[in-house]
Amino acid sequence: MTVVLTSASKWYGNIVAVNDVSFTLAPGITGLLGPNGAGKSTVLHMIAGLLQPSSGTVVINDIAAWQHPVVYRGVGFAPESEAVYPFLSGYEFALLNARLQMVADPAAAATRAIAMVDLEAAQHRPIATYSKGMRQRAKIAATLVHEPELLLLDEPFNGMDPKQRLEMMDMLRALAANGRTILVSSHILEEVDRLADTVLVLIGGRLAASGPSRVIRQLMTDRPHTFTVRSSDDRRLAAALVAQPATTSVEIAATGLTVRTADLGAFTRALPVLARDAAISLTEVLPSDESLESVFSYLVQG
Amino acid sequence: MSGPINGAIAGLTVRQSLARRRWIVVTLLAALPIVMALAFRAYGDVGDDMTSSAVDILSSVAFTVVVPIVALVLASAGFGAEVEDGTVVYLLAKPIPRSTIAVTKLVVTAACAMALNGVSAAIVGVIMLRGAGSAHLAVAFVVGALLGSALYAAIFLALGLITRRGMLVGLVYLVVWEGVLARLFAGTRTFSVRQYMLSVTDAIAKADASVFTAQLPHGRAYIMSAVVAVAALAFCINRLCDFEIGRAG
Amino acid sequence: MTAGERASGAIYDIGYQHYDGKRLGRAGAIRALYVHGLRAIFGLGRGARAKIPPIALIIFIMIPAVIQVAVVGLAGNQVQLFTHAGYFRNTVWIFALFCAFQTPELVTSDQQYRVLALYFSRAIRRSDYVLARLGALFTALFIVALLPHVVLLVGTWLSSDNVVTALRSSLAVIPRILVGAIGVSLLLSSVSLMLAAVIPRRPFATAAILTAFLLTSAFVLPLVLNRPDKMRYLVLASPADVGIGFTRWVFDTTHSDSTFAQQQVADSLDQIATQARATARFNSLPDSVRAGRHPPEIRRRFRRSRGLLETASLPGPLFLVTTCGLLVLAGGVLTWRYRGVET
Repeated sequence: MTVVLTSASKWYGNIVAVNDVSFTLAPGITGLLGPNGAGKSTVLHMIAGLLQPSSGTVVINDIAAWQHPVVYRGVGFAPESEAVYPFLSGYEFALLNARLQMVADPAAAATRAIAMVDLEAAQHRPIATYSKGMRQRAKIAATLVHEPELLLLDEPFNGMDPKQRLEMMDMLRALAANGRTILVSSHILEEVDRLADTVLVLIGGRLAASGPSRVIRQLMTDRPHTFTVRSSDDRRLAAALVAQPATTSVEIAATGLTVRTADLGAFTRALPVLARDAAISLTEVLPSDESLESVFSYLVQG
Repeated sequence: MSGPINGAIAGLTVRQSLARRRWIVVTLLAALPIVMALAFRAYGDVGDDMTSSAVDILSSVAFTVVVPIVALVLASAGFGAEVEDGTVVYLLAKPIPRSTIAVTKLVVTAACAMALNGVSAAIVGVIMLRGAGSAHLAVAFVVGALLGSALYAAIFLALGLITRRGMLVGLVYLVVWEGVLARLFAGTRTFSVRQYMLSVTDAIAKADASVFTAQLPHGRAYIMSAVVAVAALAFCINRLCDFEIGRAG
Repeated sequence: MTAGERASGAIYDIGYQHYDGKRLGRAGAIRALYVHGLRAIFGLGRGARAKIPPIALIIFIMIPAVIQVAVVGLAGNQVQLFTHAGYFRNTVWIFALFCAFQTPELVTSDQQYRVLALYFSRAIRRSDYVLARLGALFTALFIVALLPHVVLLVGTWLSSDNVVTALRSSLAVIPRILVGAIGVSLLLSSVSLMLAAVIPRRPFATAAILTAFLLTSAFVLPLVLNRPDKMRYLVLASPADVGIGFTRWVFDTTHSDSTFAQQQVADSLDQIATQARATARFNSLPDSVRAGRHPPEIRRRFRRSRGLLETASLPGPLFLVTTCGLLVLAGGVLTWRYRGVET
């Protein structure tokens, strides 16, 4: 199953949720990474055919995702929100989804799906009595019940404890090994890193980076940091800092020093030692570009 | 099942309508005219002709208040609640044509409303209309109740798709439009479901003007009922096909 | 960057603000809840959309008063379309709408958005919360009930020839207006608050309050009109009609009041007009139908114009007792309901 987005955008009046995003999904696990509000859910909903792209195209197997319900037979979508029909039991919910997906043997499919997410013990209790992690698992079961080729999971690990998380990751990896395409969205780098082969980074609605997850991780943690430093003797401190290997550049201004470093850990260890040895007291050390805009601009340029 | 009605959705809708104490509310509402009828029977003398009281109960309590509000409560289960908490995604992200979803919901909600209101009107008729020739009248009121239930269900389902405050808008429509304006201004009667109910009842009952008469001509009522039903259904299907979900980032 | 790290565990001062000033205690909390409730009812501090229902409904309530003032200005004091005595009866359904739309904003919002636990973990008692909310609703309704009467009074004074005598003759009416407004507000606020507190979601609370008023009135009407002897006390089951009965008692419509005579004239004018319309319709029926039958409209209208409360003819103080009873009932229901909230 091939999913191709071409310059897909989505805006609501003045708010642009997704801005000119293009990518192709390959079989295997792809992670969709980005801070909250970056547009990950919107992208997922567009691929799931629940939102119409304001411009551009979202195509699954050469059919537009929007307004072609026939496409859903091969797509499983697990939304982020926890709301499910509270009066149904876990099993009944999976069964309902199986019947709606027109699976040949809904009961067997539902049983299989429940077994896959390890909810057998609680499957006949109403979902209203489930804990958050169990609800997530019930949702995943409902998504898997028709064995779709394309899985779209919006923050699936929300509310799961570490053990459940590991089990879920193992299950997803097994599914991907069978040739399925899985798109998982998250705002936690470690989760995506552990799970996904490829990572797509969305920031502010734009695709900021894509590639193997190791490379992305490297980029994000090793990017240069900028600090504003004020001290009792700026010039002497600047001289000492320039001698440090961790420093990339130092700028002197009336308001203080602007220091750039490529190795955050080494720099933070070195700075106080430097200051003490030179008998300079630091009055202010502020990171000045922790904002996501700077991360984004760095990733886009770099 | 790729026909116009989907069994799984139908079952789900029925369960939704019964869930969360909703069924208590609608049963109590539908029972109210029955309680009144029983009170009349109990306090009246045996041979009394209760026709005019029956007409009063049916047309001013059952038709005006019970039928629309039962339909409103059931319809809010149909689309309102689902849209509000987002569970509608489980229906829409499936290989079922959205027209099927709309039709199924409509038919099931209307059927539930019709069942409750029809039975309620029938029981009132049985209790109070026992004289000769009043069987016609009783049947007429049941038919009127059925028609009204179906029409109100369709309208309120459509409202639930338009606005998230569907229930409030429905209430405002009931109280302001049907309650006040339709009584004051004769022209608005053409657009009032209550008048269609009354008119169809009148047509079937063929009763004396002294017993019961409706103010809207029958022909107009038939036409407008059909128009409203088709329009509501078309609107539901159309809205559902264009329905977008998902605004979170 | 922070300061101070000692060897074995420490509490870091990360700059939280301390507050060492005066604390207002329960009274302050109650007043805050009350004022907040009052503002919520009128949609203040909530954006334009929240203000539309209360303002629209207040305008609707004032319309008859404005019309009356306009008519008085044009045609003098003799024509009384809308009087103080009959005002509540004319506008009771708008009051019901106001309660139905705004009471859920007051209490059901707290439930729906789960802030009750926040409130009750502060230095107030459950009963304080109930009193504050009830007080807010009562005050709001009282204001809304008074406004049209004020308009009527001012209109009468300004359009009369001698303002001082007009003032003096109105003095008798003012206490009645106040008592009437108080009674009506108590009644409506207790019933609405009772319902809104037990229903968890706002649209359902609105529907329930509206249905309660409508249904009880519709339920009671045919029963009492058809069997007044046995079912008169059933009138007390309908809060709308209890309110109307209360105002009738307060304004004492059998009192010699020049407006009463006008009302009678107006009533009979109305009957004559109805008769004329019905006769015209009757005359338009085909001959075969017309023979030997008199127009149904008249019979029905006669009944209605006699009125539910005239038919039931219950003693006035009974309405006062019912109002107080409903207040007590509301107190009980609300106490029970809020005792059960866990914090």
